[in-house]
Amino acid sequence: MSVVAISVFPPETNRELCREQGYTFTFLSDQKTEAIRRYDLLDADGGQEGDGIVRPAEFLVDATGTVRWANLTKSLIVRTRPSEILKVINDLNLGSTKIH
Amino acid sequence: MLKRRWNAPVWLGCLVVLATPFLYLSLFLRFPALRDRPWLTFPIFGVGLAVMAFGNLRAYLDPWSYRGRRFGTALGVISVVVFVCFDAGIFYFARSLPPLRGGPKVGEKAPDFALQGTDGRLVTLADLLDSGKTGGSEVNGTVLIFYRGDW
Repeated sequence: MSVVAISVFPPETNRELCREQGYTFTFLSDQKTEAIRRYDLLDADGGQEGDGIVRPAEFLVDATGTVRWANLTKSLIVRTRPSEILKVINDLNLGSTKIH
Repeated sequence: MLKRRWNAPVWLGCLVVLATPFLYLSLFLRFPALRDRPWLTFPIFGVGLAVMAFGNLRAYLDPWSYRGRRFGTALGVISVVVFVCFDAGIFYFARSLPPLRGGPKVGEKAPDFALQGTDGRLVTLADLLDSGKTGGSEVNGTVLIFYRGDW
C-alpha cells in the first residue's frame, strides 16, 4: 500500500514540507485542479486568488485501479484517522498493510 | 468595612467554557467515536455555564458577601460568545462544503491523472499502481489523500 498526498500546492512547497517534516511518501501537485475536478472535489470558493481549492477526501484504490473505499468528509475538521484507513485495508483483505 | 469573598465559580466556569473548544480540537478529534459526536461537548459547556451562572447569581443576590458582579458579567458574555462561535464553526462553517455531484464511487475505476511530484516530474495513477515503478515492492493499492493545507 502506498500513500499519496494531493493538494494545490506547487512542487517546491511540497518539497519544503517533506524536508521539514521528514515525510517519505509521495506528494503530488494539482495546481490547476485537474485531478481535483476529475474526482469532483473542487471547492471553487476557497483557495488563493479564487483559483479554488480541494475539499478533503480520501480514496483507497486497489492494484487494478478500482476504488475500494472512499471518505468524503462532511466537515473540514474531520479527516480519516490513520487507524481507520488501516482497518479498511485489513477488512477488505487487500493484503499487507505495510505502508510505503 | 466587610471584606467580600472572592467569587471563584465565575472564573472556574469561564475556564471550563474556554477550555472546551481546545479539548475538542486537540483530544476529541483523535478519537472517531468522540470526533463524530461534537454534541458531547454540550454537557461540558453546560457545566461551565451553570457554575458561572451560580457565581453570577450569588454576586447579584448577595453583593455584600460576594465579589464578581462586573467580572462575572463580562466573563459570562465571553463564555456565551465562545460557546456560540465554537458551535457555529463546528456545525456550520466547517460543514459548508460544495455539494457532491459525480465523483468516483466505490467499485468504479479511479480516474487517472498526471501530476507533478516534488521533483517536478509527472506521476500518473497508473505509475503509482505499477509494481515496476515503485521501487520493486509489490503494490496492492494506494491511498489517495486529497488535502487542503498542511496547517
